[in-house]
Amino acid sequence: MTVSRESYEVIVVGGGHAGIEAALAASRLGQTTLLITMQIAALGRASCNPAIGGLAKGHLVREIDALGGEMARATDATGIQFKMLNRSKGRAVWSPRAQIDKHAYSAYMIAACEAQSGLDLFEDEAVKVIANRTKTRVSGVVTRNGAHFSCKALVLTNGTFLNGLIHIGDKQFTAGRIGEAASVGLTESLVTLGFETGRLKTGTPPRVKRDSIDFSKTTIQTGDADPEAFSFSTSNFHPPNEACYITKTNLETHRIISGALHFSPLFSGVIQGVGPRYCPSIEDKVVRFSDKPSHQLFLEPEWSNANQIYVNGFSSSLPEEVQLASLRSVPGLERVEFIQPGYAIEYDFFSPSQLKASLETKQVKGLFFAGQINGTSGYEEAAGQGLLAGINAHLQVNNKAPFVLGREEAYLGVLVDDLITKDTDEPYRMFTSRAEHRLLLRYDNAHFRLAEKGHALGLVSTTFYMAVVKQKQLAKKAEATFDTIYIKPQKVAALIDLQAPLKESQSITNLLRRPHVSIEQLKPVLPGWIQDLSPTLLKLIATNTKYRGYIDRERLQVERLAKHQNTTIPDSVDYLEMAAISFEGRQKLQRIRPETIGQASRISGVSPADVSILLILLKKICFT
Amino acid sequence: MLPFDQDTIAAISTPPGTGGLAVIRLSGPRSLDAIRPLFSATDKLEPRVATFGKLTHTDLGVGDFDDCVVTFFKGPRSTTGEDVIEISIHGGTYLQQKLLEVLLRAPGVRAAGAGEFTLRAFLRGKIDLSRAEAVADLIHAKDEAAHKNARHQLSGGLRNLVNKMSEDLIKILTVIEAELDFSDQEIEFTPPSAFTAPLQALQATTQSLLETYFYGRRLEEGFRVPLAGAPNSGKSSLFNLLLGQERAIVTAQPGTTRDTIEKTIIVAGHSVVLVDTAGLCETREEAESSGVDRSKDEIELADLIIWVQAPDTNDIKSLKTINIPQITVYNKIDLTPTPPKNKDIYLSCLTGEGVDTLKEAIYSHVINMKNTGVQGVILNSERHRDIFNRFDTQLSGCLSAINNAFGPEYIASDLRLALDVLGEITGKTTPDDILNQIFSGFCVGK
Repeated sequence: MTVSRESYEVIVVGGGHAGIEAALAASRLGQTTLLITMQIAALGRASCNPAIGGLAKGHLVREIDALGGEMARATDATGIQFKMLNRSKGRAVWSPRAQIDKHAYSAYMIAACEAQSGLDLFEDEAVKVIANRTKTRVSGVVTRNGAHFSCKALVLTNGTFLNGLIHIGDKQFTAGRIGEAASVGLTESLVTLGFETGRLKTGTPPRVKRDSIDFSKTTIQTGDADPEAFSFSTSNFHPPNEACYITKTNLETHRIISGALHFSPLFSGVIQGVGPRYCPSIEDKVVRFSDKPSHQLFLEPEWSNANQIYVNGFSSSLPEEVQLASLRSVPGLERVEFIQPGYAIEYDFFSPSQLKASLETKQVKGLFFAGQINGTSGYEEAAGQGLLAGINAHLQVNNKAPFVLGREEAYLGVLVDDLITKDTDEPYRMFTSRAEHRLLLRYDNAHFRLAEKGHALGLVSTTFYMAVVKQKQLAKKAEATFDTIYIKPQKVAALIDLQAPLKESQSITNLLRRPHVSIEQLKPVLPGWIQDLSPTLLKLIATNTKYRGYIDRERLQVERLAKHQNTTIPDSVDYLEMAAISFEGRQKLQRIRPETIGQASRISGVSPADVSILLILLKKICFT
Repeated sequence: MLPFDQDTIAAISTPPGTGGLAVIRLSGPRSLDAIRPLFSATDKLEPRVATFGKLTHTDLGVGDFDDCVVTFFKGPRSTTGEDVIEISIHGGTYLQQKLLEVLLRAPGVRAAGAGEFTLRAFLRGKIDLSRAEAVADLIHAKDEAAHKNARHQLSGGLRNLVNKMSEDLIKILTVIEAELDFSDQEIEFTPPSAFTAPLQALQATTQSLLETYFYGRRLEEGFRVPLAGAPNSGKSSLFNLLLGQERAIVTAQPGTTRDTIEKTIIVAGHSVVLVDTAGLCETREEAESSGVDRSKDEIELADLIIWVQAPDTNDIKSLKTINIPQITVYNKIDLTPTPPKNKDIYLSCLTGEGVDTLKEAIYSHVINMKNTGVQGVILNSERHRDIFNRFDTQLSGCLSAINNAFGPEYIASDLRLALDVLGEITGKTTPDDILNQIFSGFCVGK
């Protein structure tokens, strides 16, 4: 905790998943960087479930890695169970997930931050953002204990800490996470600067003692026998494979919960903030899906050989005794004991429509927001934003153009574009269905998509980048070769069990496009140099081939949209004066103030005709 | 009307109705490709030179569809700044519509939106910047008008129908997306084959809807009913009689009607366009020959043909008109005491005998042609037809993905495209719409 100066180029407030990536990226890019956190020992702490990745989230982690972020490497180093989700479906929707050792994960991140040159850590609470007199340029930050740091760029990643309020039954107390103080003062400071704030809610389930569980009544669930690493740079990957366990609630559980709903701050109206529908509390599930006789619960160890078990699926803000009584009706949990009850937490967020695509605020230059402060949920969403905010803080300090990813380039691009374009009314989580170019944005090709950008930024090593370039060339060559090699029907029949025999020779490409044909089956007829490619690369090439027709169509759509997508809209535009645009369109445009025509076209309430008219009027504005 | 200027757009650019000439305009990178399969002289086209040729296409009927003049403007030296093709054809709304339909089937070509040619012209700097507001207002006005028109059409059945179709698609997509995004949770797996029946039902509705377009256009433009026959069989007299006025020039000289003449009457609440055609026979006179060609076109494209015969003329029914309803009228019965048998109607223009019977026959044919539509919905706009045609193609894509046992991510991709096409009528379906359905229908979330 040595602070070497009073002035930094980049300051990051908050040491969660967003803050860490932001601070590491900025310092790795050569900026003198300070990370202010209320507790250095809590850096990288996983507040909720002990897992990284999952559907769509796994994609984000791979992208973070391809751009030189830390999350994937930390997960590989501290994961205790790895599983590829959606394995029964096509590879575009495969997504890696890992159970992590929370303690080890946090320790890994603390070590990474401490070892990072150019990065100082400072334990205190940021309470005030300092800006210039016109409130248009950030200049520093003040802490609870009166320290004053000046900076050129400030990244706020406060998570659930801003005026955090925990609810357990009718008990309420301020906290950022259970056992940690809330952050007070910063919201008010931002409101003074002109920002709009709102309230969101999230929740977490109870943590219970492993030795109070009868696992014989549960179903064991282990990870993949041949786990895939998250990071492209991880080699020799032999992680542990610790078990999780599945059990189920029953009608008795639901009866106890239903009888105690009046104690739930969610149902009594005490909680004002909106919670995420994809992560409902158990009381929500019981009420909204009353016809379901049971709900699955996953018992997940919080760290290696932990006595602390996370009851995934049982998020609740009911009184502790109700949580305990209802949980004890679940098979295997009859004598369960709590380490910590489930709770709901309300916190301040700032509508991300106040941000540019660089995650810099529109009003105050040099001020960036990342993570839950933007109304998102999830470690991966936070880390992705942190990385982008850190990169853009660096670019801003150096007067360089911001780094913005397109929706067709990365889930990270979808994430940011969604945030700044839509009005968030519940915590935002990534889903693969949010990506219109899902078949292009796969977990297995994140490095193909992003390594070049990561390298150009300076976050990805030349060695890694050159390796990716080489792989890309090989892939291209192999895919072209697949088009030219034709296999005779008899030979195909020997390799693949086809229902109807082929009448004529087929190219490898056409064979691969058949749903149940794998590259492994065709291996004997592949040229030697393709056989010699690494299994991972070979699978990627096969996947490209399988999806080619669909991918080409997606690319065509991207090109179709491309022409005006990136036409930028000057800050000074007054939409209210543009009478030819529909009234609703004007209102929405004025509120969101899109940066590009592409973004404008995605605002709900802005019609295609509105966009056309906007293009015309912009052309006039820009030329006169 | 998003400025997707990689698309090629097409529209009839002359005012609606039947003029002497009609111009169909294409603008965009695929303009030339779109006419190549139809136009006999595509390879002779030079920028800014009007080129004469024939339009031929199996979908345009047998033989040459029409003579036409095509002018090619190579971008940027064109009104829109893009490659522009202008096809001038002889008037006749039916011909224009038919040609536009065929052009819209070319890959990458779609119906132009309101003011879209002007928009492109402006964005390519072909219209003075000082006119920006005027162009914006024009597009606003055109969009409003199109919108009003659409709202009018959508006020009843079509909107309900399209909304219902979207909902059906969204239901399927919701199930697939839920499985993709929440497969780690307790969601019951639905085999994609379960979606075949609902998708086929949607496709059947779509195709029925497309079939109503023919009737829909007829409602707008009237049913075309040519009077055809040998010269001097009395077509013009009958034409006048049906109209109740002296419209066509009637003389005793055969071949007086050298071009077609048309007039609209109302039958059973429907517009019926009576067309007086030149008599069909071998002729050496050039003017008359071109009139005969036009007559043949009219007859082959008719909704109902009234063949007119008389004791003093030949019986000519040589054209390929098998699928078209027809009425055979034996005229001038005042000239013969023993008219031949098996004619539908015996009539005398001189005495007026039999005219009412003919009117009744026309009436019952029109009633027969009446289409009740799909749940009362009848398509009549080319844009909607274009949309449903593309929707039909996308549904085929979904079904073939399912048939070929493609994975759910492929099917989802096809379904999304289909929804995007319908969205051109109802407004876009966003990922949030799908997620909302998932959250309300499935208990997801740990």
